[in-house]
Amino acid sequence: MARTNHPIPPACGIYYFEIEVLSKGQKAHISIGFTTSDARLNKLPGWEKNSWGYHGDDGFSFAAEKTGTTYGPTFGAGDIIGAGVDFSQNRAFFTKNGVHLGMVFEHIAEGVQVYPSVGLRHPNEGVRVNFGHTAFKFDIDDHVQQQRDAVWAGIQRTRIDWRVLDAKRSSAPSGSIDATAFGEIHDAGNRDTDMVDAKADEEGRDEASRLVLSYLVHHGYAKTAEALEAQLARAARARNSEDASNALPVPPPAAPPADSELDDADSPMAAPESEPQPETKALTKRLAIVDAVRRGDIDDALDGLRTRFPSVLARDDLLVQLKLRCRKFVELVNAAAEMKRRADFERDLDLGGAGKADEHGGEGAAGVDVAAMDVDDVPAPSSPSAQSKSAAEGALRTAIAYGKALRADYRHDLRPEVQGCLDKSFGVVAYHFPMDAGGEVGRWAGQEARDVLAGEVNQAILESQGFPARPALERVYRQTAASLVQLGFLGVGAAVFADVQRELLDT
Amino acid sequence: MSSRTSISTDEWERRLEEVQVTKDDLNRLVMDYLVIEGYKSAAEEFSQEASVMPAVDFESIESRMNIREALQRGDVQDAITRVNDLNPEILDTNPALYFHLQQQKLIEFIRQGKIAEALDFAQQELAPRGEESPEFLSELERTMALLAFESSPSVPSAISDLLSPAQRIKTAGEVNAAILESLSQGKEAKLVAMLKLLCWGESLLGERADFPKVDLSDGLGVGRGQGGEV
Repeated sequence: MARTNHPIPPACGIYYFEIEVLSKGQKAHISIGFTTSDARLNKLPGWEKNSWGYHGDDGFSFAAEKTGTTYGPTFGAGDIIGAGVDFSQNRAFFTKNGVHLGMVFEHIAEGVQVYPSVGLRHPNEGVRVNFGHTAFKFDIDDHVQQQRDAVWAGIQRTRIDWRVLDAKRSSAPSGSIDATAFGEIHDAGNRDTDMVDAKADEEGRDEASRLVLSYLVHHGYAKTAEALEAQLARAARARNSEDASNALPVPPPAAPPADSELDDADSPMAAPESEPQPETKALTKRLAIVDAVRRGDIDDALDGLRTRFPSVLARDDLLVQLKLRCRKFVELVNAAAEMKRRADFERDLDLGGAGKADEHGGEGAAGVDVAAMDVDDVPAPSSPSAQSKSAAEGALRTAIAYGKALRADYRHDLRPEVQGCLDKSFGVVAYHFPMDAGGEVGRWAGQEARDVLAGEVNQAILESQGFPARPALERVYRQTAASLVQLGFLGVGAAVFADVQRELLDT
Repeated sequence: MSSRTSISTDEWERRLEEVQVTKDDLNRLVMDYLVIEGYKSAAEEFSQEASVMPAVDFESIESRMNIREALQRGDVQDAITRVNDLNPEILDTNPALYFHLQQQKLIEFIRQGKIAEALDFAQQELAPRGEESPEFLSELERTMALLAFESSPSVPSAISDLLSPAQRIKTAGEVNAAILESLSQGKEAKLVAMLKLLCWGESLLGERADFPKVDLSDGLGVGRGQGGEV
């Protein structure tokens, strides 16, 4: 018997390989299957403990037995036989010439590692094994897809235990869920169950909307949050009035009109959520600050932080403050560059188009020429372009002065992130139009870096207020993905088919 | 697996960090939720604020929501007309859905005390369908039983559910799913699928390992009603 050197990783979900029978007879004395490392090599797979095999001479399946069980057709010369393990069910299957012969064996590879194995009895028999280096006869990809869909459908029959979002839920799960996900958890024909489902779904809708709402608020999608809150409130009101009318008004009209206050008070659904909570000042202020960073108005952001969230600026040993001040420096340089661009443009107009305006547009390499022209063609100081030019130079001087002060303030702070932030910011000065520069400089000068910093400031404010750095929705995603990875480690093959990325994120 | 694995909080936190997910990913998850659940104006705002495009046009969200609202306020005929305006094949190809809509219509007649209309409608529209399938028939019988009671407290619980908002929501949900399917959209928000996956995964893992469950107590309702000075 031949066995591979490496066991099959259960995390593969379904493992499959094929052999081509090279011997002469129609009924080869060959066994294809799986064995553990302790099964003896001089016995066919299936005869020994911890070995499973499909035999060519009689077509029987063997699971640690001498007699075998009727399973499939016999096989021999020229046949292509495949063997697979489905770790989501801990069962095996075989194929003959591309045809699936059905699931067989129970508890295969449970708690033990198995190896692809082939056993031959006669010297004139031979096989060629295909571990996937050439195309399989059987369409394994399609088969895997079908299994994947089946597992996913099983998972989606899971009823959500909404306490999953409740911190105080017990750590022990109530009841156990069919590990294979093939069990019929949900009896579609049962109206009562359906009704419970409908109620639970409704409850769940509230929970899910809270999850989304907190996500929107966390990241400062204020208008979206507002719109969603308004729609949720409307839906809640609609439900309240339905509850009030949940009666048999026979004969109609039973209910006296204009008693909505009474109805609301009586209704169990008259939840506080029917009136949207006004956004607190802290939220509005946070969003205003984050928005200021996104716009590049760092003074505004710094002012807001100083008056409202002073502890944020001090975070991580003044790191947040440093980042904001570096950003302010970059914005000053950007502003000076914009003024210079305007001055150049006006000068070109003064010169009657002697120089082409776009020649100075953004290429750092063009800098030498521009400087030379500046010397040669100094316009009269009174011209508007000269005023723009001196204003631009003034702005650049202001920027540099700010930068120098910044460097001086942090010269003793040798943390790499601090010095790195300073270096990157000063690098920007080397470019005439940093915003237009490509690569790292352009990113650092432009909107992308503003957005990143805005995100960091948002997070810092939230943390300073005792909120988690990540929105609940993100933590749910991470928890879900990590749980599945861990299940895969523990050999629960079904978890491998529950591909979070594929099912939830890919479009 | 025989032995229980134990995973420390630190180790688990590290695993959570390793999960690859971006804000863009989550934004798409949120957009999917807003679309499927029918929060049209929120979806519109979100496409602006977060630069995510939905997979369907905003108008289809609105017509789907109009249908859902019609059912939730009990105007079944309006809902049926709107579904047919949207795509007549939806009801043509889905007899169970059509039956449940007709059943809902019967329930609304009974709720409004229109007994004559209810009887007429049941005999003309629903009785023939009860002959088609035993499931339809038993549902029809259950619904007709409502006629035997004068006011809601006396209705036995076995059938009083039919008058509850949950019944309307259930029917509305069925219609919503059918419309989404006709638009080649998932029937359910991926976010809800994620929560099911979380329940399934945590429960299975709980049988084999000790690990920290996700604690969201401080994360929901972030920034609302809690803000203030530091």
